[in-house]
Amino acid sequence: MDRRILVIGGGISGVQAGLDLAQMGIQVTLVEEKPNIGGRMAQLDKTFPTNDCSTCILSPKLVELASHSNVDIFTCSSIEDVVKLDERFQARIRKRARFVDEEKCTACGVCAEKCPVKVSDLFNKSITTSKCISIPYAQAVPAVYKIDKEYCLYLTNGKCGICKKVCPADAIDYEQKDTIEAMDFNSIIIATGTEEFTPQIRPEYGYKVYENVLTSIEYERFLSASGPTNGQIVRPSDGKLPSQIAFIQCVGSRDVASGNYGYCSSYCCMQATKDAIITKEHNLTIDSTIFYIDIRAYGKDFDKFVDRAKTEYGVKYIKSRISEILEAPDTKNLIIKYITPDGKIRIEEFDLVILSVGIRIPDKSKNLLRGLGVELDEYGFCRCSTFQPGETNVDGVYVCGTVTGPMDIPEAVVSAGAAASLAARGLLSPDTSSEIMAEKPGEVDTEAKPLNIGVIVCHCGTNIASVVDVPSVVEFSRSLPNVKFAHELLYACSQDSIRLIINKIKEHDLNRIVVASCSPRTHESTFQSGLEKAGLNKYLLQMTNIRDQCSWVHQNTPELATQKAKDLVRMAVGKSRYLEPLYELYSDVNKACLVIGGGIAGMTAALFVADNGYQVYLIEKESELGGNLLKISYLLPEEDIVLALQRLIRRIEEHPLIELFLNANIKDIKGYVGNFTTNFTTNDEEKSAEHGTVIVATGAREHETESYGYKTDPYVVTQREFETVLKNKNPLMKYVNSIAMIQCVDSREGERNYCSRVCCGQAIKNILQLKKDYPDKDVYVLYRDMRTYGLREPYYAVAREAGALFLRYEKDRKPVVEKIEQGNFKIKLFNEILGKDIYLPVQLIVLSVGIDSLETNGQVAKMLKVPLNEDGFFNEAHVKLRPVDFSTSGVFVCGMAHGPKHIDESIVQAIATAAHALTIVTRDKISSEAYTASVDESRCSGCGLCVEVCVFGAIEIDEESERAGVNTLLCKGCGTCVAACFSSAIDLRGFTNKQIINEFQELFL
Amino acid sequence: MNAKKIGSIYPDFKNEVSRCPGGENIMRCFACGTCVLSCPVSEVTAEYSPRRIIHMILLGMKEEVLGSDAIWYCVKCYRCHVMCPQEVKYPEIIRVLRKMALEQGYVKPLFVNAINEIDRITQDMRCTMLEQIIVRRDSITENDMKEISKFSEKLDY
Amino acid sequence: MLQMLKGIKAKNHLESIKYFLRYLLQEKRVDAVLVPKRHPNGRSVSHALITDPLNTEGSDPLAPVQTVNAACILKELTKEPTDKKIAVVLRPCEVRAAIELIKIKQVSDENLYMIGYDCPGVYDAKEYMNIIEKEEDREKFTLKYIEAFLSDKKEEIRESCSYCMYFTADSADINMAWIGLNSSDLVIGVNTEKGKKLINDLETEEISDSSRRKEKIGMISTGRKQIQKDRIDNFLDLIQPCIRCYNCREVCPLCYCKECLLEPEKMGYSSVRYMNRAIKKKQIKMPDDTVLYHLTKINHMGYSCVSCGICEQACPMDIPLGMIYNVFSRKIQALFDYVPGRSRDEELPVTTFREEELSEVEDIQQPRGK
Repeated sequence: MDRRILVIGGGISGVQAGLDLAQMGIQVTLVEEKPNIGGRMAQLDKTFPTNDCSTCILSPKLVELASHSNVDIFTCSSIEDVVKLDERFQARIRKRARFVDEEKCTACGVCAEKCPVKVSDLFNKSITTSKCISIPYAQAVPAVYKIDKEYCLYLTNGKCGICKKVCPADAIDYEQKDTIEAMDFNSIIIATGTEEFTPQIRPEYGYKVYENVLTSIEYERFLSASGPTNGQIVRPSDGKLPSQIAFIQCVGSRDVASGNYGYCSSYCCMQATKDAIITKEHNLTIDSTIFYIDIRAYGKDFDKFVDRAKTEYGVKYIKSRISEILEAPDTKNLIIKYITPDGKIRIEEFDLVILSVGIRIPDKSKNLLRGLGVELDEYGFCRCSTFQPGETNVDGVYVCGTVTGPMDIPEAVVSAGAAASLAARGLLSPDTSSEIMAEKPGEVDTEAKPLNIGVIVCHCGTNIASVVDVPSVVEFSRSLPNVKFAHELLYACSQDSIRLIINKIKEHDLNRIVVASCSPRTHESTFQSGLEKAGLNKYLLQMTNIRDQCSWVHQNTPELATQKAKDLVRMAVGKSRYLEPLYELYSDVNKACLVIGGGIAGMTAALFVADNGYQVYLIEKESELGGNLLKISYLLPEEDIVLALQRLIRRIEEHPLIELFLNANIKDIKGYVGNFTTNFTTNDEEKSAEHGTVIVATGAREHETESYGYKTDPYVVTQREFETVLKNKNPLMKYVNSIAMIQCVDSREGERNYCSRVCCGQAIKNILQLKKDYPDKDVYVLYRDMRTYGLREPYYAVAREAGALFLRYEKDRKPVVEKIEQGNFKIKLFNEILGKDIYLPVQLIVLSVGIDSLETNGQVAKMLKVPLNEDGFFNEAHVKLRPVDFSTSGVFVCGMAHGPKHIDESIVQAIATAAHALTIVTRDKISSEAYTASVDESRCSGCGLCVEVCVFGAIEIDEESERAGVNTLLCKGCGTCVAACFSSAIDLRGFTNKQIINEFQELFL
Repeated sequence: MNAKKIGSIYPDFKNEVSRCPGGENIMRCFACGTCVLSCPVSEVTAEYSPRRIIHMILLGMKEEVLGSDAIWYCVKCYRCHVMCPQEVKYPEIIRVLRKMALEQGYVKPLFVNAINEIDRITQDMRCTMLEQIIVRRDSITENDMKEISKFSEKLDY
Repeated sequence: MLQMLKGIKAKNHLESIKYFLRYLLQEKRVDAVLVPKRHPNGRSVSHALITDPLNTEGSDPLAPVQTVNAACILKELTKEPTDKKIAVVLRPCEVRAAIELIKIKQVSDENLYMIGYDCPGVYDAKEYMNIIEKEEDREKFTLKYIEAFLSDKKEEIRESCSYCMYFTADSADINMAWIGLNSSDLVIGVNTEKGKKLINDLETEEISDSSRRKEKIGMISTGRKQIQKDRIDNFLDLIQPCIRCYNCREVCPLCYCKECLLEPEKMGYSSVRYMNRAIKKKQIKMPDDTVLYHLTKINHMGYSCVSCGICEQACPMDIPLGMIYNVFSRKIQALFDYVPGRSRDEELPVTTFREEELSEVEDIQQPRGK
């Protein structure tokens, strides 16, 4: 039976869910409303906290999804209706007419060049215009143009028709109609995402009234090199460079007055910080000020990022919510009034104001979700329960991304993995899984043959040919040594061109092919498949880019461009002489998975892998399962944690495919993806397990503090201990009338310069429990920033309304605890609102001590060859897009081993790691890259520099020979080791020193 | 429990306020300061801060609040109310506080009357002056400006 | 903390060193000692690997001459694993080079005890030979030389020693100190656990006051810092005489490749290439690629170069290689806050990446603002 899952929404979470499923061997239909996938992330300039280019990291994912054989993408499409029949869903998908044939369009752009109609450019937030036939940005996937039928002259009144006339690919189809297709699905993943607030809900900010007030997403487009200003920061009113920029936080968020938006949008504090940093990097003369209520830098390494913004980039942070913006009519500068920390009112002028707008669920999505019978919360989010993240009240319908609540990109990616894992349940089993390996025709042996090089030069319509004299480049190619054939083609990538290339390879017995056209990133695979069909090893192809790097950038100097094209072809031919056939290696996959850690994350991951029919070895160092959860009594929102934990433990213990080892200690882990062997002891008994993947879920622990008299005074407790006090109705509470909670103890400074993320929520949770059982007890919360992000914010409001008093303190003005007698304290605190010290009489002090990484992480990291961050938590492969993976294949991380997080976040991460482990174990064989490093042992001195620099853990020094050896299955062909090796003892196949030197010698001849 | 007092602190004061009609939302305040920035009185009187008054109520500083001059400064323009993201309803709270101050003997009824009268007269005066200046809107001279400024000096009695 | 080895009372510092080495062999603390030794009749000093305690006579680590950087010898001695323990007496620059080589697995210190000592600097090896020929008592010459060093008499030491900032061997297992101390005692600084073990049978006395030593070291350092050059303006002129004999490469302790890719045959040039280049550039220097050779060597050695100056001594064309390397490598090392040989735990800059490093370079590459 067909295993097919419907993914609705083509933003990053939908894309990731689709990819994860496709890699498990499940068919995916992805439906996206817009003409292209990528969603909001495609509009961002860079991403925090690494300042990676957003498009650069996103595009490869989009391309990978679009080219995956298990994936069908429906763009310009929406769901008409869904019916559930016999555990399957039948959905009707409406595909709106594009008026451009997706199969034929080569995205050459001639149509848009000639189109006479300008329309508002929505991708660039209407800051600029685009043509009526357009593609939102150069890297858009699918790379297909679309006609805006509202404005098209031909479609509205039958005139024009220019695009059809000029299209060299004959792709324009004015007759195209909307189509409706009905399909059957096993399950549905909803990833419809959110929209930004329209800042007009706060008219006092003057959005759309004052020209120099922009939203954060509009500003992202200004910062982007591919944006409307090519990355120039300018004021919309006069195009001048601003010198003072203000960021106003919480526009629409944490605002119950202007709508039902009592939640925090989670990402905006960091987005503003990032934008301020990038602004400074664009231009040193621009100063930024961020006006905030609380800085919510709760994520991994976020506080360090904010610190850098302050110290290195001079970004000013002022805790003052802005009430209104006024415009100076002459200069169009913006006047902002704010309060200084000492309560003074200041007025300052800014050239540009950025409103950090939050997100909300669009009505359209609410309707879609409700139509499927999915229950939504008061804000329209599909809030999931703590222990069932990703699941809705409707069987077979799963959710991921911001539909479930505000979140940042990595959380969306993690939730997508989890949704994929959930949706795939019951569809996988070790018996049915097997990657179909395409049959390849027998390859011609090229080794003994003389060099016969064929050169193809592409016109790319007029893209290349209008600048470069293509015939003369062809003529020149023929003159080069070893070139047996040279030919020009209008579109080298079209189907008939590929056929021609195949025929010519056979006819002229060609054994190296040089294609001078566009980028190998988009077209290499097209030409490679041509080579394969002709019986050549596909790596005997060499492309050279005479479009992006030649005709496009030298439009005004055609003669020089032609000369450069010739140089580029000569270089490519020079390299091609040394090309060798390359092969991927295949290796068997052990189907079992090792899970390290029996806390909530480890148990969840183990169950999800085992539920899909794969063996799991679960290793726990303690004598019982449960980890930190054993010490937690309450949850927000309220749920029976004890029952949930018991159920989970019972399921683990009873599961036939989970082998549980308690009191276990890992001695060593050897091997690589698909083939690990782990030696460990359990109850002092030596054991060994063979497995194909590893999930690291070692967890973390509560920090041990000595501050504020903890350890010596029984009336100073941690939040976790306080939870137990409440749970046990400890008689101590009789003597306690008021309680002080101190947040950020030993955190966010010095050696522990990170936010433990959970403590603010923990404090709120305990306050609500306290107020439930003891409504008359007073509670003071001494905080630095309240970080109740996302849907936790409303609980903060509830805690305030329950009477908890929140008092802020600065890092360098900490509260001072004076012990008057046993169980009686006086806390001195500088109160910035009153401008003086206040004294709080309390009987109990509760410390939010935060979370420490485990000391043993270092050993695990070493055994698995994976990195830790400076705080001792495991470092994922990529903070944004690979949040549960390591660079080392086959090893994954979830839960607090990765960083402090809430229970639901640990669970969702655990499910996502299961999804990623499944993408490996569902395959019978895994393949290596073809471009991998190889060591020339005669030159290798065994110095080990390559071992140190390889992030994939693919190189080891052989103890016997003292020479480096590359594990081809782990090598990703990045070439770092080649650069690091002084002795030139390492070469990268496909980019060998010999090939590159010869390529360049052609240039310098 | 109502009269609980620790030092000079009445921990229950906030509940007292929130129980009165208009005071319900006082505890929603998260001290963002929007009220201060939107307040026309704060603009001319630096010492006046709606946020501080709310904070004092939350801290239980009952005597300081009810006995303070500050609670009489509010002109009930409701700008803070419109801009407050948490719907704290400060002008309503002021109404509650003034009522309490009167009931609990912090001020005499005549004082309240006087305040109300001042509010009425200032509005009245403003209208009268506006009328005069509006008629001559196209021919306002430097002298007019001097006259208007002089007026504010007269106010210092 | 410095410790005086009690029970070693010799007439001068050199004697006490010899006594100590003899003790190590006699008491079987080590199986062999590697130390510079005077030839009975020869004009120079070379290293000897000594196993018989009696053969320690004639050892003269303080003799102001360095014929090889002894770190090179350690490569040979530890190529294969052995269980023989060797005490190696090293100059500070040799200790530092050895530590760099340990990091890149070219030396194994498993069975090595590195004994460093305060280095008074050396003459150019050929010059030393000329001087020593005229001297009656060569041991006395060494002692005289040290006397002169301590009394700040300017000696014509090798240029690269004249600006050396690392003349105390603080990263050796133990270092034998004499600068700013009573020179006849054997005073030892213990820097590692291994070093501690080596002397744990000996009675010692802590030296509580080493302020005079600190002062003296500070004074020397300040003086030397002023001599250091900060830039090279005529690099091409300086290396112009290079004949590509590769002596500098052969003697360099840190050049460790099995095959040097900078030799013309390794570059794989065709004869046609030379002609083509000559035609294109009107003329080319032969042997060519001398600039490429030196720049690549600097690029390879720069972060580990300990400025021992042995390359300069080896150059037949008197190119001031020591100075060139010193200027370049100090700049490279400063970028990474790296001092070669300072500590075994310090990771090589090429193997680590920190986000904040090299921001200065980024600034140069991407001019900000308009």
